[in-house]
Amino acid sequence: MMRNLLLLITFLSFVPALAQAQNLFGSIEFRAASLEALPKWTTVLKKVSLEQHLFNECDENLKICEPASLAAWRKFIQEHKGQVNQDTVQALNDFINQWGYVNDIQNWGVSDYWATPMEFLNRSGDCEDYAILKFVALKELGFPADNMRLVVVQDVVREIAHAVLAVYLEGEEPLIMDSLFNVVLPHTEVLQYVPYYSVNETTRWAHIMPHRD
Amino acid sequence: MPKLDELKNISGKGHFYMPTPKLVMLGGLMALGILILGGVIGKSFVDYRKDVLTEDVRSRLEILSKGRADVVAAWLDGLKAVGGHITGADVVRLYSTEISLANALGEAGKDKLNKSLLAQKPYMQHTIKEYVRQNNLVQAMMVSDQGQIFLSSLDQPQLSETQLQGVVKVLERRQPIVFPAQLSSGQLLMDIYKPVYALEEESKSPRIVAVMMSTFKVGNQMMEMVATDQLSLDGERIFLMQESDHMIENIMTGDIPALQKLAENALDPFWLGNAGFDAHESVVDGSVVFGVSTDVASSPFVILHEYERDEALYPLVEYAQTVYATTLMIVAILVVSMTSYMVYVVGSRNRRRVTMQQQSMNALVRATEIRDPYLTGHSERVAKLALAIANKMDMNVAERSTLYYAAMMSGIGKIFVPREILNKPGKLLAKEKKVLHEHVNHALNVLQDSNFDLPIDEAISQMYERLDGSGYPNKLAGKEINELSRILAVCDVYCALVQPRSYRKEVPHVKAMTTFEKDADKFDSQVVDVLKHVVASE
Repeated sequence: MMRNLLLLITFLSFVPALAQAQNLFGSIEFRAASLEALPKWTTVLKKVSLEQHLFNECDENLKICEPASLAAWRKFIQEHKGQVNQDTVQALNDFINQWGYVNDIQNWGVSDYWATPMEFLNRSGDCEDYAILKFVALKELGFPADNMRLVVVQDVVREIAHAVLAVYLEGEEPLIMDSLFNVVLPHTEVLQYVPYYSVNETTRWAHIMPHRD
Repeated sequence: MPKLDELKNISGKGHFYMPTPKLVMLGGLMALGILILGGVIGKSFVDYRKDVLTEDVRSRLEILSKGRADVVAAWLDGLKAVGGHITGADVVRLYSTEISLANALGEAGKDKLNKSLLAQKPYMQHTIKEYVRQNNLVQAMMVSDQGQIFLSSLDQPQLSETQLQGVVKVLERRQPIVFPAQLSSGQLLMDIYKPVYALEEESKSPRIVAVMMSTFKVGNQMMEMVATDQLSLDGERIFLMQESDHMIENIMTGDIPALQKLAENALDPFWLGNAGFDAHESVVDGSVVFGVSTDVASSPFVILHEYERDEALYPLVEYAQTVYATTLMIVAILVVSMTSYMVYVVGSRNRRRVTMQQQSMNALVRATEIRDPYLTGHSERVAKLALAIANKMDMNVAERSTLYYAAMMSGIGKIFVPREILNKPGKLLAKEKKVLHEHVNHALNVLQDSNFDLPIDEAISQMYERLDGSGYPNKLAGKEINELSRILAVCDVYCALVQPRSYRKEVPHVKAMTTFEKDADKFDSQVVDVLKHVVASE
């Protein structure tokens, strides 16, 4: 485990790092406004926009809204509309983390599938699916999409890939909404993740960890 | 029945004869036959053991060869996994995908990416260098699906034609590929190419956007692959070989590694297939070995496990010695037993035969006795005298027996001659002589079908011949008359002379001897001399 941690850190390391501010999880970021290389993400974004009408219909009459999970989610949205702050983020994380984890092979028969909100609400899903729903939810709550990123990381403790949602509240270090852990923490306090790349509706960032002395 | 002239050669105590040469030959043939049979049986035991031994060798080599091939495969699997942290890292996949895309995008698209990719490049380069350093590689590089090197641990990387073709192979086969080892600056190096996949839906068989090439130093590890261990036997050798450019190469590890080039089909004799398992010339040095070759799965490598034939079949030597010694012992025992048995049987047969023959002869003699007692008395006297002479002349048992029985039965033929002629005192008429002389033929007729094991009939047939040719029935002369018959002739005449007849008195000894002197050319003088001595000593 330690070896992997070392291996990964050294692999993603760079001697004399730039004096520049290090970003998410202490990494160096390279941004580009191109989502060409991320078809899974762009597909999901498209599907989300297609599902929008379902959310709206449900909003109009919660009582007859089906399925119940959708209704519950829309209820939460309605109850928390307004200013998004740390409490909101925490409440949202608590709420959505209620859905049980189901891996993609079991759920969809493939090794990695990025689910839409409706798909997640119906069947639950795995780490990136939680993040996607949280992303959509925060957008619905009025939070600017530019201040959020879905982050694909390597969990060096569990030695597997993982995905979380990074939320950049005004003037604060980005908060991490993790499907594995209800408590929302600033990224500086989350030590077991090495970011690979992060993405939102317009931009992608590539991440490299600097060499730690 | 032995011939007269063979009698001198016959010896023995109380037996008429020992086994004839024919019997000896038969015995010899049987002994030889048993020896050959023993040899054949012994050989079949040895051959069977050889087959068992060979089969043991085959299965041992098969197991060891396969085991070693599995070890190599496991080692290669380990090497293939090296760098998985890089090829599988999403940031690397993103980078590689964008490099690959950058060519396909229009100006606007390229623009958006290029700045980021450029800024990111030194960090990615450093990553590759660290990877090489950490794993003690010679070099590593990333090649795009368009054949362009976009990351490398070397400052001035080069892509050879072979290497480019390797990249194409990975794009086609969609899995890591191990390449044959190469010699470079006195080191054995081996390339492993791993695909880097785009960040796409994996179920749709995602595009390979880049290939990572890692060059490993493999000399030491390959040396371990072919090392013998405590389980190995003397004369066992292990070789690691590879298929490269349609040739087989023997990877020679050691202080000065080399690649020994062999023919494309060099390993064919060592494949376990339908052909029988047998020893062949080693492809490496021409010694005769048993060998089994096993492919190392998903690689260009082959393990050849050899076992020197002479070492392998060494236990056979001792075994063969034991088997043949035992067989020889058994054969000897058999032959000795058989010979003793044969000798015993023949001996007792002899004894029985002799007894039976004596009984037959006695019966015949008794028949003549009944017919003519005078004849019998005469025959007995002739027999005794002949024996005495034979003793004096140191004759052997067979000769003496022949004399005795010839004398005893010489009168058989005279039974058929009318008494008047036999006992006629005066000279016989010519036609009477003819009838008398027939008695020899009569005697021979009687004895014709008898097989007395002695040339009695010959002795009888010539005892009435005279040295000067005046005898009967065939007027034989001189040397034509055999020795025994000469003795019988003398005795017959002498006894007839010294015996009183109805028509004359007995002739005294001296006068009888004078008769012989007078007829010296008719009778053997040597025999007459002996007769003189014999009678004198009585």
